[in-house]
Amino acid sequence: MIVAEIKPLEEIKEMVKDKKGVLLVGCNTCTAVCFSSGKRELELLQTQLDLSLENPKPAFWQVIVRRACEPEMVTEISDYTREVEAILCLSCGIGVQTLSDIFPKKQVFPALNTSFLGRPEKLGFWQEVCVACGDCILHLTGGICPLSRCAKGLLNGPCGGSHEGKCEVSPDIPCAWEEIFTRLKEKNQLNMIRKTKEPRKVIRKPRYLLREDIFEDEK
Amino acid sequence: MKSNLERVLREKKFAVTAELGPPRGADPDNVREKARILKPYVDAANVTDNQSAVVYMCSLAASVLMIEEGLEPVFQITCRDRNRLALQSDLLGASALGIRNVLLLTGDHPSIGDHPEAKGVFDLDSQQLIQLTKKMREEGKLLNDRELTKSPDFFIGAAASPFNEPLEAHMMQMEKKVESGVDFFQTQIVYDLEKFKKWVSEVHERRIDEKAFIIAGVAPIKSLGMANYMKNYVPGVSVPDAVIKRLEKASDKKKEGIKICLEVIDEVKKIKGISGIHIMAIGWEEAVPEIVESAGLFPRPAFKE
Amino acid sequence: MGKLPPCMAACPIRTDARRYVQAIALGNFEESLRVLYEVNPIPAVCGRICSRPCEDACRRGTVDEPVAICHLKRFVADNADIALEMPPIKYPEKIAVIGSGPAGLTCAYELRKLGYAVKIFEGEPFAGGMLRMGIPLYRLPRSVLDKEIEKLKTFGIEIETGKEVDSRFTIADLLEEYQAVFLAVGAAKNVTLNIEGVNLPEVYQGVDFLKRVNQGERPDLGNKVVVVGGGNTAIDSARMAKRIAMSEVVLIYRRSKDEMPADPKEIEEAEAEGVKVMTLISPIKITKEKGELKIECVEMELGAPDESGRPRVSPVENSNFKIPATSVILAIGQVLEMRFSRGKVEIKKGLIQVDPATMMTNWIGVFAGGDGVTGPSTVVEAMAQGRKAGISIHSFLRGIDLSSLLPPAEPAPQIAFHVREKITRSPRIKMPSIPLKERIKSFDEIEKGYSIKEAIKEAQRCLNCMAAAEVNPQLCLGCLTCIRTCPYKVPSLLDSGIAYISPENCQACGLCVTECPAKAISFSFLPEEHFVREVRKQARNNGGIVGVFCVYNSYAAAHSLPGIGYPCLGKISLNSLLQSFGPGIKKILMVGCPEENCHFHSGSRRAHKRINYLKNFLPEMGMNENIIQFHQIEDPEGSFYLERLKEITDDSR
Repeated sequence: MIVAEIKPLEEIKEMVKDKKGVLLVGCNTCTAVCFSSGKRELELLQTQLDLSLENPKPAFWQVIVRRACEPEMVTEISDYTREVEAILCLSCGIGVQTLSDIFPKKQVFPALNTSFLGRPEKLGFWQEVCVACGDCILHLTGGICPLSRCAKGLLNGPCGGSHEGKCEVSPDIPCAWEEIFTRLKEKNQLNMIRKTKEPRKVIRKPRYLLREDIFEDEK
Repeated sequence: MKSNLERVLREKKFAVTAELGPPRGADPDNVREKARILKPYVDAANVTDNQSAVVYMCSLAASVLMIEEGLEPVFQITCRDRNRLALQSDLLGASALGIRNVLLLTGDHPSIGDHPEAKGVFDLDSQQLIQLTKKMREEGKLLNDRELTKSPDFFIGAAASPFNEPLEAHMMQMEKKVESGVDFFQTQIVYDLEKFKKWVSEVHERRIDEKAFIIAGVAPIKSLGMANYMKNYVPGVSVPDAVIKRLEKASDKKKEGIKICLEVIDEVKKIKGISGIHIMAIGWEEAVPEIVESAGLFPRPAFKE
Repeated sequence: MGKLPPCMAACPIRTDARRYVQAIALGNFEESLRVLYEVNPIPAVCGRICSRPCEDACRRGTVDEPVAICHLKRFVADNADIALEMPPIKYPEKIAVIGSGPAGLTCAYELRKLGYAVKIFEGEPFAGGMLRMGIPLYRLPRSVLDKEIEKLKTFGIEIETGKEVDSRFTIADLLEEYQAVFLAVGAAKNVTLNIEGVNLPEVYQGVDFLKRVNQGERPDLGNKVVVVGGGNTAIDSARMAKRIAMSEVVLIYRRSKDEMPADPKEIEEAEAEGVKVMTLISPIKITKEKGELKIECVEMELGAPDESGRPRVSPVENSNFKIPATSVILAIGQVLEMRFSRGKVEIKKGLIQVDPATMMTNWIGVFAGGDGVTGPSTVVEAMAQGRKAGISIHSFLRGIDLSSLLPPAEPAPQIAFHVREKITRSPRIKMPSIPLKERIKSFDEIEKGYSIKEAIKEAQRCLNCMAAAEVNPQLCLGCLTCIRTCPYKVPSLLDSGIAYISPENCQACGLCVTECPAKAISFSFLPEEHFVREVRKQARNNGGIVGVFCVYNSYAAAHSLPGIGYPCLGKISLNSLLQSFGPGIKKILMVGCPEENCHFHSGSRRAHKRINYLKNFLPEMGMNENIIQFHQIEDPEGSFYLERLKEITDDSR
């Protein structure tokens, strides 16, 4: 899922301090799970702002939507558009953009930094495990993604910075390529990486997905 | 025309290379001065490419300055700062400027350098870069198969990591590099001879030394602090405790450092499958002449044009 | 209706034992007593002599030992004092209660609470019934009983003693003035053995014997007393005899020990005091030869169970033998005292007949309960009958459906094994008592009662059953945080992707409540706002200085320390902590236990992490991180806490 973290309070304070009414919008999907956009964090942020902004401070409202990225799911926000001058959106960047599109007259502020696509490994610990590269090779790498988990995103690792399972970047980061090597060796599948993989063939540009059989242009 | 280094190696002479670190500045004389010191004592000298992800004068320019001083460069190029377009064009330019040796590297991660926020490109990795360079040389084609007006002529080098674990994974990397087209390897610095010998026997077993020349990295230790730093922070370097202890006891650390280096060279020379040494004395280039001379590797072989 | 804490479900009068024990655990004794008075008019009496079905049901028993619920009841009843406010009379009907034993008192109490005028008529000169006549002094000092009865008078219950319901004052007479009558006349008449010799002067009847001794008589029993019977009256008589005569006391019972109806704890204590218990023996004749009593007995053997489930007994042939004695006390059973004028009330086999659903006799408006209906039973059973009758009378007078007033009680099932395993073991606190040797020398109360420290410690063993955290399925994201947080591994994920916290397994640590990112989990017994409200109140009263301590850590002073006692600081959410830093706050002191001592395993650790997280952003809020002082230190007496609190208070001046 999408992992995000709340921006430094200073930054958020700077965004909303001169506004009259601010609607805090939480998103109850991915980023709520990583403690960034659920009711708990929304209330905490409002308390933080309430206690630290100087008068005259904005009036705050709160709404939690199920998925801020879906236009149909954020309609509830319209109930507040009369009162609020700005929307402080606790969601990933996708939700922020949906709200910006739907409420063009309001200022929509991102309260989160969208970090990565990851999974919860332990309580309070999330790990990046996918970069949405568009060309999955997990079947060739023992189910471990080198693009997200190797600091250099190498297709043919490990590099010389890998030693005893650790990455040169930090001893906290395991070397993905050594993990791949170990996993494939256990499976007796080292031949999967014995040949050098060719450079990636994905073209980097704004991407979209269009399903011809489903898509309908509303015109 | 073959490079000097290639000829030394092919003639089965024990090769000597050194490292030349370009300055953090636009000062050509710095490079020239170092080149002049090294020139009589080495067969070629490596020019580092923003080593440790720290900004220095570009290795292509420094290589050209060296050529002007009559010292043959080993042009180092990493995948960190260039995408596939830049890598290919830089290699073509290097060949055009008379560079004959390249050392193709993945490159250290930007986060450990002096611009930690820099985007690491890593569009290609060293394996792919080796394949690409060989393709340009042998087939006269770019990565996308477009024909070159003229092929570059490179003696292709790559790095080897004798001390990284697990050995098998890194050995596999070496085999892949050979398969991709590597002509010679330069290894990480050797202090731990025991481990190194074990590694060489593994290399020999896999007959890698029959397909590519292996040049062992050595370096004089200047101080106890440097020894400890290398031991603890430089990935892929193993400094045995005995070496640290010797330095602790020594009154003249520099002298002891050179002595240790010479002992390593002596041992390395005897190892079957090792074709030369690569002296990494960055910032202490003045020590190279003494080392080469004391090691009995002076004068260097000369070839008629 | 949800399942009840097992203690509450097991209590015949539905005392909310969990709630009053938890109140003690927090050092809140008056609150605890208030809970007791919700159903119990005589808590100090019950705290001494109750047969404690709650403790048999207590789920702590499956972990180590049950919570000493009864001792705790006595503790608050003895140590806390609240005024019972006289409830207003809401209804015009008046009710007469005949008999002031446990059934009568409880029925009157229930009706008075409901808003009826009630009057108790007692034939004896003093109120209390069997509590006064039957229960030995060493178990229930009469001063305790007197005090409780006096209190009930201030509650508005009128008691007229020395007023027998007889031919001059009949039930029919009563019904002229009262709209309902409750007969709680007890079963104080002995069942006599139909054998030779029972009328000898050295042979006493159990209830009469107890009544006489309890009123101050000290009959000469000689040096060898034989008590016949296996119920509480028999045991009480034996122990009383031991104290009077300081002689050999032998109790003989016709079945085996397992079938003895007396409280096992009482049997054990009697034996400890030197009463010799002989079983499978039945007397067949009492003779007096040369001034010496001889009880001829026969050995018995157990057979197949009878309709009551107890094994039948039959005499072993040719097993006759004789026991010498100086006196005999017969306590083989009691029936209804027939002194009162029954009128139209149907009586069978010495017991008043009632409809068990309504407790009404065949006479409309006349209800009955207690031993007079059931035969000799426990005090709490008699009280339950009184309570039920009271409610039934209300239903009768008001035309309310009785089943809605007496909902069935389903106890929570046992705690799952994997959860039980994770509960920290802690032995039950022993009740301080008079040493064995001293006991039999007087009629003084044997048990001395818990000290404050002991009571709180014991109360904190309570597992707070069914005070569970609850998931709101509308809000749950299925994020697994609760599953990963719970130190007891209670939450699980339903097929629908929603978390479920099984109420019977939840240990009410509150950690999932505070961590749930969607705030989908709540606690009914300790809502989040509670903390902020308490802090604000404290701040107002103490010049902005607020102390918060963990009651498990500072248990010995939990009742007396200033500030807010919290049942684990891990229950305080990040937001409520931050909210409490609002206007008026200068400093908050928090003292919790060392992490490894935490009652809930990870509560103290989580509190610590939360406070560190909070301190990280306080500077960004323009606040000094020193606004909060957090310590993790063993502080049973609260002395560290008090010192720090004083320090902070002095600093702030």
